[in-house]
Amino acid sequence: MSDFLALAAANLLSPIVLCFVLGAVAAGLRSDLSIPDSVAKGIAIYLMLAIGLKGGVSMAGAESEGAVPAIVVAIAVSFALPVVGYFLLRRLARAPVADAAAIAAHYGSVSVVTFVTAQQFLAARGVPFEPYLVAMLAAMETPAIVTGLALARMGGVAGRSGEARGHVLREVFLNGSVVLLVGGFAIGWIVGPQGMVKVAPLMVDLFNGLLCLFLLDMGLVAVRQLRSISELRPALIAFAIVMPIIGAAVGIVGGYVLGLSAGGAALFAILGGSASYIAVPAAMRLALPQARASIYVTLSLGITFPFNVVFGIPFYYAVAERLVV
Amino acid sequence: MEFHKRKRIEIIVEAVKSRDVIAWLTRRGVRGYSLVPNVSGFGRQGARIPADVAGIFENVLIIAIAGEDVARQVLAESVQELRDFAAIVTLSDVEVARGDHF
Repeated sequence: MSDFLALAAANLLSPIVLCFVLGAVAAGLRSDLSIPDSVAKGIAIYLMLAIGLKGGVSMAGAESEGAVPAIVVAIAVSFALPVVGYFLLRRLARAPVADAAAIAAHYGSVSVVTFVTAQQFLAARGVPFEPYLVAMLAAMETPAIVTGLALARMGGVAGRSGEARGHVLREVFLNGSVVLLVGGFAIGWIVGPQGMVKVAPLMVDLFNGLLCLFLLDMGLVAVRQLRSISELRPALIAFAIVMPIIGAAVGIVGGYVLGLSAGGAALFAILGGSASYIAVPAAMRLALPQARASIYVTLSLGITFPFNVVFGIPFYYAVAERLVV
Repeated sequence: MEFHKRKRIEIIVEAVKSRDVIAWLTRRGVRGYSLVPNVSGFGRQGARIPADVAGIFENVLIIAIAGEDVARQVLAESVQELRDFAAIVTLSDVEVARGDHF
């Protein structure tokens, strides 16, 4: 317990998390501080490309053995987690079918920024992890969208047909995050460490500073989103805390089965425990417009994201470190 | 100089839906449009302010000029096309100088 508290305190006092807290406090106090929308979107693109590049570069100099089964398991987890979430939402939170299916899809997908924050947490402690975790991240971005829509259909709620289905297919395979992560990963793998030297001043040296700026914006956005919390029943709020823990447990067990290191298992836990707030909301809004966006965005962005960044990352790592040797 | 009477179609709609709306207008024979991004406001669906990274709370304004028949068909179909989405569709009378463009 004292180990976890020490990790949690150290995590809370990192500049990245403190920037998030600053944004959250500023929004809580109704400051007029805001990061221009296009700046935030630009930084998000930078972060995804940089993380893809760095993953690809580390893959270029490493054994790729173990990558394929790990990616297959990651995809399977992303497909399966929404089923668990849907069951909890329908049975325990009594959520309507469309809301339950859309929320569940968010929790099968991942949050890139939570993953990046966790990576920096591990890097600050010198904890190694497998290079293909970034490929697992990309693989888990979108399969949950398919499960969410299938669950809605089984529950009797038809999504939008025709064009919307085309959008969903495009979203699953060509979503901007997937393109950046997979594309960056491929470029990093091709150019290797030597090629990376040329772009390192931007893609490596500035990474933590820009991550701080992005987390500042996320703090602002997360707390402003929480203003919709009065629409949420306590069972839904509880879901946004319980489901990440279930997803993280699945990730840690998956990491153990795959033989990942403690750092790798902790990152897989973050993948299982985080919820999407970029790729899935846009896909669900188009394909399942009956579901209320104010609910699923508030849960994933307003509750689960801060929970994971502040408590989840050190907690999952503390558990992974004990269980995975 | 002769001016021509046309209808101005204004659609304020969720940004994520804008691609569908433009495809639908094109199918109905609308020959061009202007799109104003980053539209915010308040209405039946509550506040629509583009503050989230996914942009699902962002609205856009689509403006098109068309003949009366096309414009009225768009207005009639909008009930079904934009069901479940935050949207406002209005028609108004305008005059244009280059009638063959619309």
